[in-house]
Amino acid sequence: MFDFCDKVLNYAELLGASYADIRIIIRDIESLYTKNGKLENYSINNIEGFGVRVICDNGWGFASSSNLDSSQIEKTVRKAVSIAKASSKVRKEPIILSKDPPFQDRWASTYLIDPFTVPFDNKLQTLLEIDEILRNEPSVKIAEGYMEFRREHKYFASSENARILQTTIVSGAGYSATAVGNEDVQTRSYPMSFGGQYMQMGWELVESLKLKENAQRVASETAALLNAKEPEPKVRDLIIGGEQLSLQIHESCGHPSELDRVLGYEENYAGSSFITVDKYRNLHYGSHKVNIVADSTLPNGLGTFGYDDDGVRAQRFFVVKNGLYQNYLTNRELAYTINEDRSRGCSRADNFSSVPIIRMINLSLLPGDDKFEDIIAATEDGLYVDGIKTWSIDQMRLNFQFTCQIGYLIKNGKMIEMVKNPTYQGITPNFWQSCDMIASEEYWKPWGVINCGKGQPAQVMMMTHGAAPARFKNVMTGIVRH
Amino acid sequence: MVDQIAKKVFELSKAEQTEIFFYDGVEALTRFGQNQITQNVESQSQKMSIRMLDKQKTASMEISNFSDKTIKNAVDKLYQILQHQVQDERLQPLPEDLNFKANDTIPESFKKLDENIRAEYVKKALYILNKQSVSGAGICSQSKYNVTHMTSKNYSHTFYDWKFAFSLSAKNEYGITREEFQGTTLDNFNIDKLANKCIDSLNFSKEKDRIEANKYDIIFTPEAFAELIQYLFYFSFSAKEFYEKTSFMAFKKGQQVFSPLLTILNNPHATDSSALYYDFEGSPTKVVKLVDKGYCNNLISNRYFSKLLNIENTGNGLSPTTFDCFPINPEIEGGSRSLEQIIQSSDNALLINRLHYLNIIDPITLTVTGMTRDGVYKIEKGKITTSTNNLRFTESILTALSNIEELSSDRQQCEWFIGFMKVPAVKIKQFNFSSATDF
Ligand SMILES: [Zn+2]
Repeated sequence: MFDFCDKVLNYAELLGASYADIRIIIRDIESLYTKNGKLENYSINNIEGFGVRVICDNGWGFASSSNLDSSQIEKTVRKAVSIAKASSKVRKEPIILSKDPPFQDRWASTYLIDPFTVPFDNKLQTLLEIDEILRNEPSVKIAEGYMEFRREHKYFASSENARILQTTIVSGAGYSATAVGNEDVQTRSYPMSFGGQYMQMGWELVESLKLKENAQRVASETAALLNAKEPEPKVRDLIIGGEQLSLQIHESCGHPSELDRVLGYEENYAGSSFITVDKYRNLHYGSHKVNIVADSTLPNGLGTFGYDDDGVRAQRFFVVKNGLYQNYLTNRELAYTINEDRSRGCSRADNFSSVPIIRMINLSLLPGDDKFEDIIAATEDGLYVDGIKTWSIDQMRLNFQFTCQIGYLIKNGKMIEMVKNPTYQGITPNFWQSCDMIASEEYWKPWGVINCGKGQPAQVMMMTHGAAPARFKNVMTGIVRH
Repeated sequence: MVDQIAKKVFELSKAEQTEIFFYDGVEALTRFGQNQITQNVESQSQKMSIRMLDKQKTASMEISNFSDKTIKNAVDKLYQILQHQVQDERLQPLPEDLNFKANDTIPESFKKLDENIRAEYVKKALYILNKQSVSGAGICSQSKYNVTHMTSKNYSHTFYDWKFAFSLSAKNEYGITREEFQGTTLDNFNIDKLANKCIDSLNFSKEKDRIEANKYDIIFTPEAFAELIQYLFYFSFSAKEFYEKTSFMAFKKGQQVFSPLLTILNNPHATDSSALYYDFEGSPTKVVKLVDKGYCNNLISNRYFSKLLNIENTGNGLSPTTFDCFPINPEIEGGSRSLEQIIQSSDNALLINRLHYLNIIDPITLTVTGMTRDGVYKIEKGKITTSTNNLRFTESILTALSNIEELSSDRQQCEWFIGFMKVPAVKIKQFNFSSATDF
């Protein structure tokens, strides 16, 4: 494969590229989706192709092909160069790549049991047994089960002589129960929403999730939600469970930290960021308890790799330290705009056909020192929420509103009543500044996100957020209807 | 080429019935921000999914390498996998005996497009903005693909889709606004007009008024209305959701749910969009009145659910194994006056240019939350007077659509996953905003 890469790079140089890189991706995906006792969808994807990125005449160009035949090289490289030349016609600033060294290396994610060797019947049986338990609950009308396994070989080579091969295995599994009745629909998922928990692991992940053991509880909770009320809108202390907090980190810290957003490159689509360059090192992002770390070395994380798609080595750094904002997520293209000469290794593309852009790597809230039980016990008038349901945040990443799958009202240190559609709303820095308790390491868990959309053409990326439950003082909860 | 590949697959397959979907497409997109091109890409891809059906069992596989060896391996492996599947009596036989190619007469203006022409458009837009000290960001994109659906039972249907889009965000010290164009032809595309419209809107932003969350009478531009209404299209009219009782239609079919001003069509044969004459189960697609003067009389369906519910098969089966149905080229009928006239006749309302990051809280009442963006303007006594800060709304689409006061005669083609949706501007009374921002 590196021969193929060499041909591409040589041809790009011949056509005048001052920088070129190529990624070849060969990816297998097996996915199962069960619904109400049936295997609703089973598919296998074997996809391969290459993407070439060049700088030519101070313009960027990218072209890709799903055909790995060497006859495609000329056509694709020519296209990339022609696009770069067109880009250069509307370019003001010079392109200055950071001074990250090129590597020649191999990297592979770790796993114990190759999920592609596990017999199909085991996979299906696991999901169907859960399906039966869920539908034993009369009001659960829809039971859905998910499993997905991915294997990816990625070759990266650059005109600066980087040659990197990375192999990744990702497994994921989960289920959800939907209760229907009283002209209402309520869903609970396990271990988390959107297909369950995903990690860079093998079949051992599925075995470790205690899927079947939790099915009865999930079904009962779902049924109970049909008879629950919505919490009345008011300001309360809010305790957020780990799964929901992972999304809170993602939306209110991760995206506004992407330097391309900060610089206005996403203005027309996802928006920009309130963490502008003039104030980022002076910003009190949260209370002194808040420490958020970006880490592409996190064991088994979905944003874990040896090297990013610029060929920059994986790293770990603080985004927020003791409440103070520290660092953006950067790539080789934009590091210089904040006077940094090395990239923080956040350049990622979701496929061979996509150009690498700044992406979240794993981003986690470090644990605090409180016991979860003590946080509840210390809350007089509060709401505990968890389970991702609905999320929305403005184009500067300030005004957010989230609705969770399940909530419990807390009175005088005790959870007293289940509530449905628990909703909370806030403004990012005020919200994180109100964080006064974070549960300790024993409650800290990694949560995999598999559906992070960004960029045009749209790209879908995976990353992991570690979090333990935390408390936020005086948050607006409930749906405000005037 | 597709014919030969399909022939190979069908010859090798030991299953009773086999089908392929062959996708062949190019997507190119120029992205700009801070007054320069920041990203510029083109991707070419071909992929084929093979599905086998045998003794009420099915399985499918997607490949992007079409060498003899890969195809043989895929077909053998898929047949092996098929043996382990569970029987599903809902599975319908594959379609047979048809040879149909949709219209692929791509207009000259579209054929000429390439990275150089896209760069020229970007340059021109930025020139107009920069002259007025306004900075620009956006995209100029072109895409073209075709999907060929063939079965081992002598069925062949090819469908084409192509689109051009230009989106422009314009920003100065007073605010930010946005305009866009989407179409299958560039005949009506005028980059000067688009950029100048942005400048006009920014002029209204010089004065800013702070407003708080409350109920307001609002006017949505077609693009803003499209953002909202897509949740109605995705979650409401499918026979599957009706059967599962997860949409309001399960409780209100046949009733007047919306304002009598509202009529919505599922229009797969729209002439100015990518017409789809057969769905992905091979059924002929039909024009359906989803909402008729506020009455919700009809569902969209596929083969399985039309039989189960004893209703007409409308040919909206876009997913043969999960039985999901989606509207194709949905369109909302317009009213009699233009958006401008609606503004002129409004005493006290908010004009909302765009919405952002919508998400659904409750699928039955279609309660949705989201933000305004790229321009909220106060209308007082028929005139736009100032711009305001942005607001978050949390509102039921059912409530909003029953509170429609007027729809505009002018309609826009807005993004939809197959073809477009065609949407007018709308005036809605007492729309609920739940919180505000400072910007
Ligand atoms: Zn995201």
